[in-house]
Amino acid sequence: MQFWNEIIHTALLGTEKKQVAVDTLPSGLQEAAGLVVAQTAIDREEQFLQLAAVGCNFRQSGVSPLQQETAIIPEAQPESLPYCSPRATQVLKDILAEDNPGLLGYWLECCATTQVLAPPELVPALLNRAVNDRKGILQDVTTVCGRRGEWLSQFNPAWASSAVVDDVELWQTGTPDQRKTVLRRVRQQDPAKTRDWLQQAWPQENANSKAELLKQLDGMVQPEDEPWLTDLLAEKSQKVKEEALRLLKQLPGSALVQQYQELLQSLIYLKKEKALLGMISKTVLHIQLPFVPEKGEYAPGIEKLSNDKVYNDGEFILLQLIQSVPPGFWEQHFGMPAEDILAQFTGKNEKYLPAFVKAIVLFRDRDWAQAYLEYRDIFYEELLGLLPTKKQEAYCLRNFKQYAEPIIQQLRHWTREWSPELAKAIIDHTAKHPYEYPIAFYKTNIHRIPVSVITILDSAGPGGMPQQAYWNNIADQFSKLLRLKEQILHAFKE
Amino acid sequence: MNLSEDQILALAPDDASRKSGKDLANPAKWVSKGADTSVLWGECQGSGSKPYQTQIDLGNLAFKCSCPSRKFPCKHGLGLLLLKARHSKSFTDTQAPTWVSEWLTRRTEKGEKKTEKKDKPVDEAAQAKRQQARQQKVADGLEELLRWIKDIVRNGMLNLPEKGPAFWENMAKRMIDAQAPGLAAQIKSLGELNFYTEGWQTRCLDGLLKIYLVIKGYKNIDTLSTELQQDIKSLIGFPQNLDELKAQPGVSDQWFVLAKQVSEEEQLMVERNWLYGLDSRRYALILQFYVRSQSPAMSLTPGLLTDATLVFYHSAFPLRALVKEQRSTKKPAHPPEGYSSWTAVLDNATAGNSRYPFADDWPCIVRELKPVGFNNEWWLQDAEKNSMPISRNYGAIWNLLAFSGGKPVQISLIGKEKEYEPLGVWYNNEYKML
Repeated sequence: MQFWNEIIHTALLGTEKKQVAVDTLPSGLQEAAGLVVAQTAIDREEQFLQLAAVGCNFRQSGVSPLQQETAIIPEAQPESLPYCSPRATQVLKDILAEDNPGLLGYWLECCATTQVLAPPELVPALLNRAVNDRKGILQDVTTVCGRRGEWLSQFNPAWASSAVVDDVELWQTGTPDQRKTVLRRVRQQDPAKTRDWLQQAWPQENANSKAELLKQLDGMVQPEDEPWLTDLLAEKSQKVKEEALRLLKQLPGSALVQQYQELLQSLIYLKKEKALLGMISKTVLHIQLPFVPEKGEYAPGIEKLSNDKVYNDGEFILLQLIQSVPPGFWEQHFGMPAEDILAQFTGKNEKYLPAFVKAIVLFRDRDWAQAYLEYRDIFYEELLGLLPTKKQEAYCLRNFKQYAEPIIQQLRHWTREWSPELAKAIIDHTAKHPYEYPIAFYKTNIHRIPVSVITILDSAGPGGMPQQAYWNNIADQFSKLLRLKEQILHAFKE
Repeated sequence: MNLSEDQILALAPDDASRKSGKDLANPAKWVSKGADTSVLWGECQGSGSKPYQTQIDLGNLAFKCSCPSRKFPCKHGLGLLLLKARHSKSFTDTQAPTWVSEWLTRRTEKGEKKTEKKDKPVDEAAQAKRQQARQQKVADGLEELLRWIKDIVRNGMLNLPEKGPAFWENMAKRMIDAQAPGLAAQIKSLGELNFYTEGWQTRCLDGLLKIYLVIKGYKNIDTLSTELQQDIKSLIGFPQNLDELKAQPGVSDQWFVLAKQVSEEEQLMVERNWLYGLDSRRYALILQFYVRSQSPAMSLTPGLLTDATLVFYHSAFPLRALVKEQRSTKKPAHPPEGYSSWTAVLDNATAGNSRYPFADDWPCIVRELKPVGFNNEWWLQDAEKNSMPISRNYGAIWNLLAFSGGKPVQISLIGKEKEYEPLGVWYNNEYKML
């Protein structure tokens, strides 16, 4: 293309300053160029234009492909699962066009559960969504994109995170968020491995990172972690110490919890006393307020000054101790079942009952959660998740009228679909408050809302204008979402 | 004819219609609906008291709806087609109501009348006078244009990027005055070049040379072949006589619609439909111009086969054509034949260049091309390991790769020289637009 560069060079400078050197033209052009130059009747501009026109045609006609043996691409591995149906593909296209993360998540879940794959044509769109989404669809996208997605990701740096990367590599070289995610995930399957990871990396981590990593172990502490966590109480950083202490408190058998139990044994106990002029004897709960030291701490992780007017300092210490021991401790200590234990805390001692709720939640004691709610029919949103599925629904329905808002807040965390009855109660409520629950609420929760609620949308709503008009608009969009969800269900049933 | 949802949605005039059409693909929205082999109809309950009557001629994909929308097809037409695609079994009524059969009859009559309507008396003397006056104007205009090009060549193109749009627009206007709209459009497109991207120099010089060749060709038109004479005239902006063209027998074939490219030029929608004839093995470009929100004269859907007769415009390199008769549309049973290698594609391009030095992008179908990465660029490699680069601005590379999975696929492309853009790919015997 040397000759063409010569022509372009001349064109840029202008024929007033430069002429095409005919001898630089390739031999195939020489004859034509000779004829052009031989024309004395035309000016040099026309001579140039004619030479360039011939050169242009010569260039266009002489294109040849690049013979490059080393330009190779590996083939994607064949898939082990079939692709989803054309119906499911079309629904996915509609969802991607709607830009609805809730429905997308639901489609991905259905696809993964049915053990089919997204078609190749939609793999790039899904990978793009996965990298732009912060709500954790990456795992599902990686699953449904199959080997084609894995293969494709290697060519696009933006999708690198969706490629299957070794966990160890991700832990060692990933971003802070990726490291936290992989730590949490691997912790569930192999706690010992994550303990090794943490211990090896610990000297290189800064205080913030240490605290953040410890937070990921929340609810997943193992007895084997105790020695290491105890060592961490000597760390310089207050943040790290607090996190280590918080985790130690979650270990029912830890020395710390044992210490709390021993303290409680001496402060709260049952004593048999005579009643009715010695005719009968009854068990009486004795509570001795702890001595609050002026200097130093009462016990590790226990505040000695009350921050609540209802409790004095001694009561406040007791409250903290009760909420820091597993509820099962009381069954051993008092030798009676949960219901009877709770029945002891009456009158002025009833103020300690909320601490039992905290202990139930901390140690995730499902039996105590049920026993507590049978003993006191009060709505505790924290206990909801510890009830069996059916009881959760019944508990929500029973308390819905009075506690609609906190219940809805809790239900937003459910991974399963709400029952039709519960969903109806929720929609009845949310439709009456369209400004508090705009279409975004339904979009986010669409995977939890059963399709059957479509029948109540027309009759729901606040009634008065202009709220009713606003709701009607929401209902219209909401029904479209429900229809899409219905299509997903049908598509994966095929 | 069973259109896929993608093909139906591709008919939508805009995103809003696409979205609304999807919403109407719901049985609850339709008071009645039915279908037979050639027509689809339904009554959709809108905001008015009477439902809208929607009907679709499946043979030629023609729509009619009683709704007030000026979009074409309207959301009801799209919704009905989508509903048919999704719930075909629910179209149990096969007896077309009167309003449908009347419309079909009117369409047939109209088609017949159209063919009868010709031979209006023409004042040949006046026509010749007008032609002569125009030729003079064009000749004067071309002289002025040649001077303008020579000025650029003399002073050099180096300072062209600094010239504002007025530099190009003024000359384009002069060509409009000279009744050479084809050249005006070429000058305008030169002014729209991005002078701050690599390779503008070649693109600009190519454009100027093309105009120069047209000017010289017009001056020496009597020495050229009849076809090339027509090309020169077309490039200047002399229209070809459509009645004369339609009087020709044309090429009857099953035409595979490779792509539909729609752009807006001077408040006019320009639709470029790229076709390939299965038997004739010819490529064709069907251009349609229409005002936004109005309907193009005919509907061509990428991925479908149209049984039609095309008449090619007179040219040394015939590509542009008009549809003389469109009979039916159906799904293709298998991919069309294509070039076996890049060498075959480029040999054909070279042969074309020798006959017609003005070629813009042209389409081709190539079998067994594999996208490969080389020198930070994506290339398409054929079975002989010959590769050509994919245009740098190509936006659907990941979709192409996803379909390919590292294996060769049959691809339809558009481009020339060293810049090609894939249009569609055959995947599992089905044509997928990229």
